[in-house]
Amino acid sequence: MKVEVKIDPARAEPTVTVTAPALTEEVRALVRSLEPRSLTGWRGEEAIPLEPGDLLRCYAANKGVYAQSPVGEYLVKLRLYELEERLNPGVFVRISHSEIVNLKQVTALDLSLAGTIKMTLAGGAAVCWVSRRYVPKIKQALGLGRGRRA
Amino acid sequence: MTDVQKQWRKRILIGGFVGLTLMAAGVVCIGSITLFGGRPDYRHLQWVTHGAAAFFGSEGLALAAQCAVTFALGASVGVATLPFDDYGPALAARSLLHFAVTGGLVLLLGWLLELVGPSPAAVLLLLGLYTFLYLTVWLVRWLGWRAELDDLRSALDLPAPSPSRLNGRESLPYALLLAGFFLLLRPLAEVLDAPDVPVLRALLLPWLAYPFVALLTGWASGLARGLCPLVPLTAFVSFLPNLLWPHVPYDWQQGVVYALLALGANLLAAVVRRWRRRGEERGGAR
Repeated sequence: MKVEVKIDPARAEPTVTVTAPALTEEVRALVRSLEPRSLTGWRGEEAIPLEPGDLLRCYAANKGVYAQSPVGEYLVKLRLYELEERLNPGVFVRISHSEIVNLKQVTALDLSLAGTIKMTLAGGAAVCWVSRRYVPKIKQALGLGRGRRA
Repeated sequence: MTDVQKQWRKRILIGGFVGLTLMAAGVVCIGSITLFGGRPDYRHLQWVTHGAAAFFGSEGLALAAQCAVTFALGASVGVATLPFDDYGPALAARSLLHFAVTGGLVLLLGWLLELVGPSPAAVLLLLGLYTFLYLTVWLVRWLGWRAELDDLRSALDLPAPSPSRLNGRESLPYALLLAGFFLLLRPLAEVLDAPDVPVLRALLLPWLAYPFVALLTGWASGLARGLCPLVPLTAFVSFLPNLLWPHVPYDWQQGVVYALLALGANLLAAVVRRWRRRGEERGGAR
């Protein structure tokens, strides 16, 4: 992939144009990574802009999807897989069929004798369980093992 | 069909057909060696036992039952890792269910092949061996998960959890593995050993297998976790039931020797571990 940066003092804000021979998955991922990543959380009728970096986790419960930050929980009007696509894949990783966590907020990992993995976020603000099926995805996001990041 | 269901179906089919293939290969091999004195006549291979044929009324039905059980056992082994792919209470429940179902199939196949008769001792021995094998595979996988978790911690810059007192919790998998060997090898030898020349019970077990297992688990736990007094203690305690067997009796001092071997290997490995870590720290400081 060729990267070209043009400095134009006449521009009011940065503009990114992606030129490609076809709309491949790689191009889609690139576009996704460049898109603004703000989210909107809801508390009743009140809409609150959420900064993804501040989030601890997003999870599905009671037929809704919620985002948890250190200050509270908000309903997000997106499906979990849509959230997964929106959030930075190097930081937010699916750990079970109903939960996505912010890896930068992980403060402890523990393995029980039964083989379950307990993940503690932000020093105990949230505790969640990692499904073993998703461990390869976490390793891939962290650049470990076979799924090492490029 | 979801990806998970597809994975289950694929593993069931592969495991089932591998089971059937192994059964066929086993019958052909045993038939070639034992029945025909090295000149196999594959048209007359005995695919089922006389007992199974008599129970089902015909060899065809007995063979169908044997194939069904073998396929089911292969499928059960094929999906063995999938129950672990979950979390919370579901993991424990699924693992126990898988253990019970596979155990039932092992017993059923053992009965069809006349490996276990009506004797409760033979049934218990087969179940004991199966449990030991299951536990061993599970423990090896658990150690792998722990190594995986260490990698994740390291990638996330998280500190390793502080070890429990005298590494008790950390050395539990090694202690369980050691106890499994010490508790089950002797009953197995009772069945396999010749009554007139007890090579296994008098020679291989006390002079080779037990010392080797004690040394190995002591060394492995020391290298991975440092000093683990639980391992030598387990060597001694789990050896004690061996004294109950009346034929080819053992002495309790043997248990002390195995415990000392485990302790010595553990101490040496713990020193090696510390020495390696110091080397790494020095390398990192430079």
